Amino acid sequence: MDAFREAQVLVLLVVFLLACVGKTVSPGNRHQLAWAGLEGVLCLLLLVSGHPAVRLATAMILVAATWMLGELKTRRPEEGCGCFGSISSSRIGRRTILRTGLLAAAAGAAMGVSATGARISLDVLGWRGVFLVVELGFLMAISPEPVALLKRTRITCDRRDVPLRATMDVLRGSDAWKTWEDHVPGEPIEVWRELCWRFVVFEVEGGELVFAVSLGPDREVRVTLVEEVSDASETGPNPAYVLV
Amino acid sequence: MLRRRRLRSAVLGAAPERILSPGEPPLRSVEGRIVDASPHLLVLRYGVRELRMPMSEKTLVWYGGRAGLGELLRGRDVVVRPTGDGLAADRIWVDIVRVSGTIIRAEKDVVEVDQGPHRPRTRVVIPRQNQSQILVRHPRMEPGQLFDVIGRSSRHGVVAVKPGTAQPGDIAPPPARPGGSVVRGTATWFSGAGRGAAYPRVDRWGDAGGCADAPQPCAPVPFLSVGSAMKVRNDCTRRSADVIVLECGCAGARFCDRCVECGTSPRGRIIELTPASFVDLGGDLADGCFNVTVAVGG
Repeated sequence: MDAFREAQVLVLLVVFLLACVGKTVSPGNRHQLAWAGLEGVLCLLLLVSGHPAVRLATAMILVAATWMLGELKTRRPEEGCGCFGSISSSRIGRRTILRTGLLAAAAGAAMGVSATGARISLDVLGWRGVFLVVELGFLMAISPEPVALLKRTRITCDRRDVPLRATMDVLRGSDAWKTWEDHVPGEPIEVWRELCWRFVVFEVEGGELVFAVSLGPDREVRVTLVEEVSDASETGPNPAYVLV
Repeated sequence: MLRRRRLRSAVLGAAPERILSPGEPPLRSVEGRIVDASPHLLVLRYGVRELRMPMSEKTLVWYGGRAGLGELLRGRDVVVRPTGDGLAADRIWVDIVRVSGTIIRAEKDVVEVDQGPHRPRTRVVIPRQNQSQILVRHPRMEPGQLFDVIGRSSRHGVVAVKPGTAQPGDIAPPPARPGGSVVRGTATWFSGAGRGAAYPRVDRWGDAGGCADAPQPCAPVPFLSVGSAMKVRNDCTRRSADVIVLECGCAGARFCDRCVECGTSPRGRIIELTPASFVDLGGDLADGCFNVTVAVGG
């Protein structure tokens, strides 16, 4: 019985860690970054503390999250729960609520476990490991995210939503960036996307520096300095032959 | 709009020329406000320019349906399709508007429609004589349901004339289709000025022009931005033209209908054209859609 209760701490640790990383790497909106921070703190506390207040706070937050998901399912189900970042954008269903409810129950079962998460994780062989694998397997089976992740890997880069932050990470790690880094001011003046390329423009001395960052797996970055760009419009009014 | 295309070409090189064949050149439609109309000549104002279009006995006029030259009154807005040789007016649509989006409020003969973040909320009056035709396509006239009508503007707001879609709004999502930057589907039009299009999948990050809460479009089209270029071909008339993305078609993305103008198109609105661009490609504004092939990017 103790092994089962201690395994719940590990389940919560893994789920909070995945949720925190998912929301940080690919946030669906700004609120999710705040949630990622909360989950990161909870993860850390579960790892280093066995205090009853930490166990209680974890259980209460998960109960509240279950209630919130129930509300969202009624009001705005199509927006997705965002539980693991932008990957959790499929419609909120009963299974999503069930999953959070089960995690709340796991947090309840972990009440009274005095060992820290770090200490439990040092000994995952035996029944603890069995409970951990079975529970995580069940949670994965009822979750929409694994299917979404599989679908996403099959989506070509021109149809995949790529957060701006990921593009900036690729850009700042490129040789092209290192070449021009000293000339580039803080923020880009214009960012837009076309198919598998995102364009990032900086105003520099002598013109505009245009980076084209590939959104595909090749992570290619190209750069050019454009000296003068006009913004003429093409949507003229009417053809010449009817003008008087 | 050209700025982004120039910067793109500067950093990636010129995009490969794509030709949608077989293709005919576009017509050159005319839009403006009526200054004067006689049986043989229509005088329009567009901005500061004055335009004169000859008319013949074959010229057809639409004003909430087939109408006579008497409806060409001073102050009304028109879109004119020229004849093939470009010398005269072939068809004239008077005060034609389109309202498509999600119903916010519905009463017996008045509907308020949310057309998305880029277009105004609009109140539509449905006259008794047009109600049955519109209800066939919109059987669930209640908040949250999709709504799409073609109508005419009037002093009291938009007067609905006919449904703009061939199917009711509540349709199951379509099966996934293979990728590629050449896509087929439905082209519709929206009440916008100039030439260009609204595109259902404009990127939401940076300055691309998309909406943060835009729905996943029904048609699996690739991501573009405001200012991106597309080659568009009307599969019914075979006319094709270059079209620039002017705004995000957030409202159009929700529609999962088909166009049945010439054969049955795949599901999903892949482009919403301005009236001028729609007519350039040979479309009839009163019909509301045509089957289309679009090559995106470049």
